[in-house]
Amino acid sequence: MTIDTEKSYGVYVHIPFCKAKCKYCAFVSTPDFSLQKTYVDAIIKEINDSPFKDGYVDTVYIGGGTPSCLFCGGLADIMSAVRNNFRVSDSAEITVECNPESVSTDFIAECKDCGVNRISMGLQSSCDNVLRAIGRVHTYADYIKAVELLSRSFDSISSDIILGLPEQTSDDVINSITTVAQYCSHVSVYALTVEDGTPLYNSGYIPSDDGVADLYDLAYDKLSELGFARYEVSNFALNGRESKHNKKYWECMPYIGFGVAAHGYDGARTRFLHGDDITKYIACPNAESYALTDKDLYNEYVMLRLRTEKGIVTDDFRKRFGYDFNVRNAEALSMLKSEKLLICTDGAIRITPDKMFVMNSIIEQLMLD
Amino acid sequence: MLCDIIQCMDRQKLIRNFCIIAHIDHGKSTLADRLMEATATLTKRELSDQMLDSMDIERERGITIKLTPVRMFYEYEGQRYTFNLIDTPGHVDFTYEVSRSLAACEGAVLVVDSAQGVEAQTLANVYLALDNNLEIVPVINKIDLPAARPDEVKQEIEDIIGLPADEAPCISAKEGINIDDVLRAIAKNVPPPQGDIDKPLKALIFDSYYDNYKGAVCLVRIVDGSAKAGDRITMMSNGKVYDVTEVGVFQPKPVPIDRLSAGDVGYLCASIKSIADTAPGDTITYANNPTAEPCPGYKKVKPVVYSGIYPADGSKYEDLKDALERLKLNDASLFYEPETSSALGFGFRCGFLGLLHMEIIEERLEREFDLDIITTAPGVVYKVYTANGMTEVTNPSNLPPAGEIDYMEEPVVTASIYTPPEYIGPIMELCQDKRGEYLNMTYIEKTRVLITYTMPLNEIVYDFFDGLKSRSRGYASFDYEQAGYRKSDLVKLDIMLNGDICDALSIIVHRDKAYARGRAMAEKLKDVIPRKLFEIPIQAAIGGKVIARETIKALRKDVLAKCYGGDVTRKKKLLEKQKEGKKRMRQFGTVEIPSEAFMSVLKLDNDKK
Repeated sequence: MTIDTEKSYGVYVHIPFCKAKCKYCAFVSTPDFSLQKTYVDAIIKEINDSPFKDGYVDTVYIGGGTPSCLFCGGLADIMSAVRNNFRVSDSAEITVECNPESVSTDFIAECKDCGVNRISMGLQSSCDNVLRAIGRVHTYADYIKAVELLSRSFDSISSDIILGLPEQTSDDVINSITTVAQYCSHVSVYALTVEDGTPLYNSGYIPSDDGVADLYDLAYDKLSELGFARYEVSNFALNGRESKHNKKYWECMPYIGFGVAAHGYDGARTRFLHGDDITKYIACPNAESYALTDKDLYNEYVMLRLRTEKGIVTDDFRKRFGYDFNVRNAEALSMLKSEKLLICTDGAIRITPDKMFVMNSIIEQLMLD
Repeated sequence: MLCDIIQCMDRQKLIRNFCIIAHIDHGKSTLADRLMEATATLTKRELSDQMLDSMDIERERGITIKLTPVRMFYEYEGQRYTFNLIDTPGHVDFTYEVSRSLAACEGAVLVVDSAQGVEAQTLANVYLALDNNLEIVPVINKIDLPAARPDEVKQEIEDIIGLPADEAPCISAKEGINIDDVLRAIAKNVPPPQGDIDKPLKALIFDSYYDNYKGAVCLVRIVDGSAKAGDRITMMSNGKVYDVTEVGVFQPKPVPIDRLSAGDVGYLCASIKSIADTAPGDTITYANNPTAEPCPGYKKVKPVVYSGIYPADGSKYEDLKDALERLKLNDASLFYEPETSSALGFGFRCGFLGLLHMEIIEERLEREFDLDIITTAPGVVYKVYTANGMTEVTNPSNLPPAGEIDYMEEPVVTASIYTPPEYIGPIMELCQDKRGEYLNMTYIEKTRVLITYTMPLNEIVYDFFDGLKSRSRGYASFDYEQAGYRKSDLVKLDIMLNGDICDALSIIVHRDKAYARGRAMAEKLKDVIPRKLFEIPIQAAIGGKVIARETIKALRKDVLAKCYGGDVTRKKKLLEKQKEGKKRMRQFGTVEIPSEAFMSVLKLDNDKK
C-alpha cells in the first residue's frame, strides 16, 4: 500500500473495556479487565505493522468502551506507538473518551503526559433515576465532580446527552444542556437508538418518535440560546470548536482504525474493518478490507455529507466524482427545493435546518438505487 | 347378443363405484390409503410414493388436494369385485364438483369421527349424496382415540341423518383396525351399476386435468354403452367433436385399456386442447349416434367471489398474466380479466368459486410462481338495476353513480352452523350483526345445535368465518349454500387519501354498515400507511359525503442518530434498504401505500379483539 503524502489521516483506537455495560449499548465491550494488558500489546503490534506507517496524522481519537478504565500506562503506551509509527502533527487534536466514574487525577495526568488535548465524556442525563434505568454506573454528582476535575486541565471537553431515555423529561434535557454548557465547548445530542439484542431492547422499551422530536427541538433551541451551533445533526460546538476527528467521517476523509470493531477508510475506495471478538483480535490483530463501488462511494458521500450543516460542497463533489452533483440531480433537487427540504446556496446543497431530524427520507431521494 | 347383455349385467354386478365423504380431518385420505393397502392395490411403500406423485399431479392440475380415482380389486364370497373409489373435494366452494363426482357413484362411504361426531360438512355432503340417490355406508373412524364414543356417534347418525348405523363398521384407519369390514360393507351394500352397454355411449365427466402430452384428460363414468380409441365423440354441452385417442383406468397410475364399458370409471383422452371444454357434469356421447338425453344436472359454474389481483411490483404484470394463464389451464373455474386501477396500475379482476378457492389461487401465485401480489377486498356479484336494465357488478369501481341506480340485489346463502349450545348466544349475535335472518335452530343432541340463517354472501366473504371461530373458540363448524339474490340497500364506500379516491380500497357495503366500516378502515389505514414529511388526510366517503376522517401526521423523526467511522457501510445499507422498501409500496399520488394496507383493511374486526 502506498502512503498518500497529501492525505491527513485520523487515527481511531478502540478500547473495549467497561466496568458495566449500559443497557442501550450495542458496542463491543467487556468487563473482563484481565485482558487489558494483552489487548494493549495487540493494539501496539497492529500499530507497528500498519500499512499506513509514516502517514501524516492530524487527529487521534481513543474511544470505547471506556478508555479511562485502562490500566495505568496503557494509554501512554498506545500513544507512544502512534507517535512512533506516524507523523503526528504538533497541533493534532487528540481526544480520549471517558466516563465520570473512572476519571481520576492519575488518569488526567497520564492524558496530559501523552499529549491528549480533548476529552469526551458521557453525561446522557442529569437525572439519577434515568441514569439508573439505563444502567449507567455514575450519578449526576459523579459527572459534576469529574467534569470539574477535567476542566482544570482541559479547555476542550465534549459531553454526550441522549434523548428519548426511559423516564426522561424535558426538564432533564434542559438541565443536562445547561450543566454541560457550563464546562464544555462541544455537545453531542443523540436520539436513543434501541439496538437489537440490548437489555433495553429486550425490555420492550420503545421511545416515541414524536416525543424524541420534541426533545430534539427543545435541545436545539436551548443550545442555540447558549451559543452552541449545530454542525452535524447530532453535534453542536461553541465558537467553532467542532470535532476535527469526527468531521473526517462525515466529510469522507481518511482514517485508520485499530482494535476490535474499529473501522478505517483510505479516503478513496477501500474501507477496513475488524471483527468484534476480543480474544481473536489479541491472537491476530489485523483488519480486513473491502472495496467500495462507484455507487457505494456516491451513496456514502451523499448520506454523510448531508448530515452536516455545510452539506454537499459542489466543488469537493466534482473533484471526487468528476461530474457535477447539481446536473446529475437536477430534477430531484428542484423538487426537494420547491418542497423546502433542501437549500442550495454558495456552491453547497444542504438540508433545510428544521428538516435535519427527518433527513433520511430526503437523503433517500438523492441516493442511487 | 342376449349373451352379451347377460355378460355385461354380470360384469356390472361385480362393480362398485363409491366415494368417501367426511368432514375435514375425519380421516378420509387415511381410509382411502388403507383400502388401497388392504386390496393390495398398492404396497405400503408404493402407497407413500403414490401419494407423493398424486400430490405433484395435484399441484400441476388442480384446486383441491384429491386423489385420482382408483380401481381396486376385492375378493368377497368367492367373487372378484372391481371397486372404483372416486375422490371428492371436501369443501363448500366445490359443491358442484362434489355433486358431479357423487353422480358418478352408486354409493358413498360416510366417515364420521367417533370423538367429534357429525359436523357441518358431513351433513352437507350426506345431503348431496342422498340427492344423488347414493347408498350410504356409514363408518365410525378413530375408535382408537381415548375420547371415542362410537355408540353415541352411531345414535347421532341415526338421529340426525336418519340412517341405520347399527351395523356401521367401527374402525381406526390410522391403526388399520377393521378395514376389511369397510370393504365387505361396500361389496354388500353399494348397489352395482345398471348401465346398458347396447345403448349409444353416455359418459359423465366428473373431473378433468390437463396433461402436456395428452391434452385435457376427462375423468369419466360410463353410464351406457362403451368408449374406445378411434371413437368419434361429442361434448353435449357445446357440440364440439373429437376423436378418442386413449381410454384407461387408474391403478392408481393411468393405465390404457382397450375399452371402457357401462359401469366403468376411467379416463378418456381425445386431443382436447382446453379443460374449459371438459366441464364437470358434461356428457360425452358418440358424434354420429348420440344418446337421447345427457346426464342430468350439468350447469355452467360461475364464480361467486371476485377480487382484484395486482403484482406488488408493477413491472411483474406479464409474469402475473402468464401465471394466471397457467393456472387456468387446469382450473376452468378460475376467471380473470385485465383491469386497471389508479392506485395499483395494471392487474386482473379474478373470479373464484368461493373464499377457499381464492386463497388457493393466491397462495399458488405466490408459492409456485414466486409472485408478490396485492389482493383487493373480496366482493360478490351484485345485480344493479338502472333505467337501462340490470347489470352485474363485480368491481366496486364499476358501480354506476348512486343517482342512476334504481335498486341493487346481493347474493344470499343459507348458512348452517353446528355448535355446542354454550356458544349459541355469541354466534346468533354474530349472525345478526352480519345481517343474517334467522331460519331455524335444532338440538341435534344435548351437546350440539344446528343453527341456520339466511345471510348475505358479502358478509361471509368479509370476515364471518374468523368471527365464528373466535366466538366459539373453534368449536363451531360452518357450511353454506347459495340461496339466490335479494334486494338490499347497498352503497359504495370510498377511501380518499390526500383528497383522491383510492379505487383499490373501495368496497360495496350495506348502508347500515358503511359508517362503522368507513371509520374502521380510516383508523386502520392511519396505522399502516407510513408517515411522510407532510400531513396526509384519510377520509371515508359515501357518494362524496365524508363520513369519517383521520389524519396521518407529518413525520418528525427519521434520522440515523449516530453515524461515525465504525458503521458507515451498515448505516448506508440501512438507508438503501429503507429506500428499497418504499419502492415496493404503491405510490398513490404523493402517498406510499404498503401492500399490507390493502389486505389489512379486510381484517378489521379481528384486530380489535
